[in-house]
Amino acid sequence: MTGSAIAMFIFGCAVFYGGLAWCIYIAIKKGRNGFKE
Amino acid sequence: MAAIGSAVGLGNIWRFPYVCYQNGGGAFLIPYFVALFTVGIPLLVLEFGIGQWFGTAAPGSFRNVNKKWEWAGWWGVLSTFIIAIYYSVIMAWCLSYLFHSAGLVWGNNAAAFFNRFLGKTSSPFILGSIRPQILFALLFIWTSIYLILYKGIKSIGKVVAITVPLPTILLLIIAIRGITLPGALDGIDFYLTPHFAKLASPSVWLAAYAQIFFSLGLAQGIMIVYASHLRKKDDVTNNAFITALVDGGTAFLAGFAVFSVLGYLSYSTGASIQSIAGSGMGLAFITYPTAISNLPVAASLFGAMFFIALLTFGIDSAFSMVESVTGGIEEKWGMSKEKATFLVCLIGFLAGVPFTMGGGSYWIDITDHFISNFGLVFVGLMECIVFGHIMGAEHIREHVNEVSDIKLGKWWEYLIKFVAPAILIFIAVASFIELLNKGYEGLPSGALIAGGVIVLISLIASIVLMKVKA
Repeated sequence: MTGSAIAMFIFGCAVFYGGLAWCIYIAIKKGRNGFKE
Repeated sequence: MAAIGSAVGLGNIWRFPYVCYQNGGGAFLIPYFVALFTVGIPLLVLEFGIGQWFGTAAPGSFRNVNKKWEWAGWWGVLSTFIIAIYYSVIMAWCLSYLFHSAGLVWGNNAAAFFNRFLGKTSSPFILGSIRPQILFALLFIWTSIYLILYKGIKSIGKVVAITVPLPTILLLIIAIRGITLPGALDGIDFYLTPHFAKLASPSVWLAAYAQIFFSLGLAQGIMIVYASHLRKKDDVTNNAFITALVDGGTAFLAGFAVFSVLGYLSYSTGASIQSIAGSGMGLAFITYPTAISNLPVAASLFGAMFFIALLTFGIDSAFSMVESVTGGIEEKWGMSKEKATFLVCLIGFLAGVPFTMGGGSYWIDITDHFISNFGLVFVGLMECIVFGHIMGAEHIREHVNEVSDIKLGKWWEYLIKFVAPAILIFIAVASFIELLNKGYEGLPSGALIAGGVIVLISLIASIVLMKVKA
C-alpha cells in the first residue's frame, strides 16, 4: 500500500471509529439513550 | 439501534466503496465528512427532534405544523413504500443467491447466470414471465417483515440486536479474509489512494452529499417514526451522531471487503481493477460471485457469508421502511398495528410481483433512480421548509438542546434553513440536467417518462391520502 493510502486509512478510522467511540462514551456516561419501556 | 439498522443497508456495501473510488479515492473522505457534518447529521438531528417532540409518524408531524402540509409527510412515506417494494425484491435475489452459493452455481460466468436467474428480457417494455424462485423468496421476505413488525417496537428491538451486529461481524471477517489474499493490497490502493485534484470538481462534492442523503435514509419518514418511540429525556444529538458514524463506518469497512477481493480477482484473472470495479447489482450479483468462485479455499462459505451479510443488512432497512408506512396509517385511521402491518405487507408483496418478472430489474433501476433523485429530494426540501422556516428551526433546536449533551448553536438553524435546501435543489437540478443530456443507463425515453410518472403518482396519492378523512 502507498503511504498516502495508509494516511487516508488512518484519517478515515480516526473520524469514523474514533468519533463513534467518543459518542458511545458520552452515551454510556450519561445513560440517556434507548427506547422507552 | 433500530435507526442504525435502518440507515445501514445494501447501499453501504455496494455503493459507497465505488463512489469513493470514482471520486478521488481516499480524498473523497474529505467532501464526505463535510457533507456528513453540514447536511447528514443536521438533518438527522432534525428528524429525530421532530419525531421525539411530536411523538408521531411523518404525516402526523407535518399535520401538527399545519394540516395543509400533511401531504408532504405522506409523500415521504409513499416514496419509502415504493422503495420497500423493489428493495424486498433485491433481498429476494440475495436469498436465492444464498442458496446458490452452496454449489457456486454461477460457475465461471456469473454475468450470464445472473441474466438467466432474472430471465432478463431485452427491454423494460418486454416484461416476460414471473420467476417462481424469486416470487417464493419474495413471499418469504414479506412474511418475515410481517412477523418482525406486527408485535410492535419491542420485537424490532430484539431483531435488530441480531441483524445489526451479525452482518458487521461477517463483513469484518470477509474484509480480513480479503486482505490476506494475494493482490488485495493493490485493490485497497485503488480504493484509498487520494487524488486531491479531483476535489476541485463540483461533481465530487455533489456525489458526497447525495451519498450521505440516501445512505442515512433521510426524508423517508423512518427516523421520524423511530424517534417517536424515544423517551422524552433521551439524547437526540448524540443518537444522530452515532447513527451517522456507524453508517459511514460500515460503508468504509465495506470498501475493504469489496476492494481487497477485487484486487484478488484482478490478480487471479489478469484483468485490470478499473475494468472489474463496479457498484450496485453488478457488484453484488456478478463481480463478487466471480471473485468468490476464484477463492482458493472455503469459497462456498464466503459466498454464504457475503449473502447473509447482505440479507441481514437489508432486512432491518426493509422493515424500517414498512414501519414508516404503518406508523402513518395507524395514527390517521386508528388501525391496529397487526392489521396495518398485514395490509401494508400484503400490498407490498403483490406490488412487488411485477418486479419478479424478466423485465423487472429494469423497472427496479428506473424506479430507484426517480424516487431517490426526485421524490425523496423534494420531500427533504419540504422538511427543511416546513420545519425549518414555517415552524421555526429554533423551536426544535431548543428542544434538542434540552435533552442532548452536545449542544447545537445557531449555525444548525442556518444549515437546516439555507444550506441543506440549497444542496437538495442542486442535487435535483443536476440529476435532471444529466437525465436530459445523457438519459439513464441507455434506457428508452418512454421508460424514463414512466419513471417521472411514478413520482407524480406518488405525489397525487399523497394529496389523496391527506384528503381522506380520519
